[in-house]
Amino acid sequence: MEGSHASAERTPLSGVVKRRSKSRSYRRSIRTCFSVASRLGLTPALTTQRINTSRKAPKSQNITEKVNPEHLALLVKTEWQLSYVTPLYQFRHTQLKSYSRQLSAFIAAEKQQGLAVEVGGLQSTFKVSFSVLQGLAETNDDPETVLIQVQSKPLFARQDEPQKTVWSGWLSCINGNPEYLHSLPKDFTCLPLFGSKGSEGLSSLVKSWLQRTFDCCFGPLVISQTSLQWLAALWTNCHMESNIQNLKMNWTLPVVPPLHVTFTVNSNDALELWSSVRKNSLEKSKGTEEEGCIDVEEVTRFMQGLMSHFYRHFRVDLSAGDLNQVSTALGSAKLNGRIKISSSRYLISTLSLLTECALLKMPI
Amino acid sequence: MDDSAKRLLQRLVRRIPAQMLKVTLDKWDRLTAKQRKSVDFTQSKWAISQELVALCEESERTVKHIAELEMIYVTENPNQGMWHTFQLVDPEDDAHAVDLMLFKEQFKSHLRELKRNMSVKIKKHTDESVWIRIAWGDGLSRPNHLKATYVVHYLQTPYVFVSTLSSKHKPLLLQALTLSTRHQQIKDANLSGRKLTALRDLLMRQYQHVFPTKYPSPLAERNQSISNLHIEKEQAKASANRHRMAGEAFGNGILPALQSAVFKLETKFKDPSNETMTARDEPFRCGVKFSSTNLLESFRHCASSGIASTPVTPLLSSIPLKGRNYFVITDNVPTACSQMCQTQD
Repeated sequence: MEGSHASAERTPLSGVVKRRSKSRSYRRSIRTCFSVASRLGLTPALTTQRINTSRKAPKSQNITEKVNPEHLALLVKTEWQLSYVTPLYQFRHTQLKSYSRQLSAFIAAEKQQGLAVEVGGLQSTFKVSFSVLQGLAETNDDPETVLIQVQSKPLFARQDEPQKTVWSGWLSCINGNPEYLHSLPKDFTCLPLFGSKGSEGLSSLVKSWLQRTFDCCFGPLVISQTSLQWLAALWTNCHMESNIQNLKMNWTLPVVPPLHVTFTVNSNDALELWSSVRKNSLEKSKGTEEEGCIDVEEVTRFMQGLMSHFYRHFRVDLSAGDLNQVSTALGSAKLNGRIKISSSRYLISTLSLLTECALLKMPI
Repeated sequence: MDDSAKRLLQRLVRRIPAQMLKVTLDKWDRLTAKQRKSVDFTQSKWAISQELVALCEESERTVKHIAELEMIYVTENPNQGMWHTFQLVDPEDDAHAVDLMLFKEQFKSHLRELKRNMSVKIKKHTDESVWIRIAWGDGLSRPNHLKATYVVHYLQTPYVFVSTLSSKHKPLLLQALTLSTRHQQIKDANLSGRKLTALRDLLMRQYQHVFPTKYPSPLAERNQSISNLHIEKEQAKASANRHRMAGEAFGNGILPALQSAVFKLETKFKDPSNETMTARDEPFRCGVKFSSTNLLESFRHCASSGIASTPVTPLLSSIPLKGRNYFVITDNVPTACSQMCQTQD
């Protein structure tokens, strides 16, 4: 991701930035790096991705018509730990019942450490259900989001007490890069974003089952500094439509002992700063196709404005540390890959940004 | 033993860590040695509390005795809960003559005048501080021992530390303190935190600043560890300057473990590259909270490593200098050095 960030700076400064512009020389140079990979039959198009230097401003979408509100309620207002997943081989949305049984058996077997368990047997105290969260996919290329829930009876429950969900996770792809999706060989399903909530033990069991069954790889999704800054700017932009209450950012400075700085900005003042930063670029891009697009330069200037206000008072340079959390009333995002989306109106746009991050993190 | 005493004892046993429980009970000395020996401290907390309740009932201990136990524990472990600092101002002529006996009498009588039906315990700690535990009741109900207020005061200093005080009882307590210490007013010192020892050290150290030191800068012979004369550190002079200024702003040696500082900023946004915002008349409202396991050390390290530009801004250096950690910053009449002044709350 760092390499592609450097390339973003090579884009022309005229303010008109084409989405996903590729320069030939860059593509060729990356190809030579990965020439071994391409000889093995892996598609070269993957490596020409770079992080978007401009995005459409997220519009508040009422998706309760597209998506079942119960499903939405499962996703919002909880904190998810994110990972990226490489494409799944021979994953079928039609086989979900079979997957549920297999995963239950797997979890039961692992918990019992080596005793044989028959698939579908009654011994398993864990019940797994795979389901499809219909309607979240934005484009025709996006596979539908899959939800995995593990339910079990609490330890000292009575016989008639219902099972509680002890672990949930989902695999998703929202607005995935269409060139990448088309370049995948047949039989591969790309659901690069994986969110999980629950005990670490169950998470690793589910991941290892998925890895074995679909020949994929998991890795932690670190939400980079740039992505956190994008979220700060995008959420501030949303204040025009929905009240974000305030913009809160957490930094950690690398001193001994580490210093944590929480910078909370009044939402209206943050929006005014953001609008002043956008004013110039809006005038330039009026009438062109870029209207409504937010450029990474604006995000950088917004953050710099905030940091310079901070510096004016405390003479402490925040860029010496790491931005590790951004939160507003619409949600919160942490550097270690934890995300919470508090409003279903911005679910799609946040997940699109995260899908992009996941696709970029992937090693192939 | 009545219900409130039992509940208090059970809560205490839950709160006090297992290894400290035995020690605290020994200090309390309200159970005989035989009784104390009979308690098995390796059991679960619930079991221990049952045993202790039984023993206390045997010895007919009342809620007042259990309150003593709590006071012993809190006095020995003051770095819990949230402490707020108040400062006494405008001493009367005889303020310096207030000794412990006089203070105790006056405080109790003033408090009783204002409100009846309270349980007050005053104790002098080994480090010359006066500890007060107040369980508030009103005309109709008995004193509530589960939510007792603790007050710590060092006689002859203007500072009072208070923990667990509700807004209902605040004016009563403050008035009683002001009158019994022979001052005219008491105000919020804007210093609060979990570690009482850190707050105390921060304020008491101020007295050190008053006395001039004989050697204001470190002696030249120190830190001369030149290994190789041929190697010259380019940044040596700048680095030494930063270290010196960091030390001047925050102090050298071990610093009190203050854990957080809060600044509410209501100043205008000024950035030459952003004309729109600079032209705005309204302040840019934001808040900053600094936190660390030892805030002053972090700041000192920031200054000495260059993350914070030296000379250190008065906003940060006034934390140890003025002994406060809550500030509201507004634009006042611009002064020569900076355009920010702190307002007194």
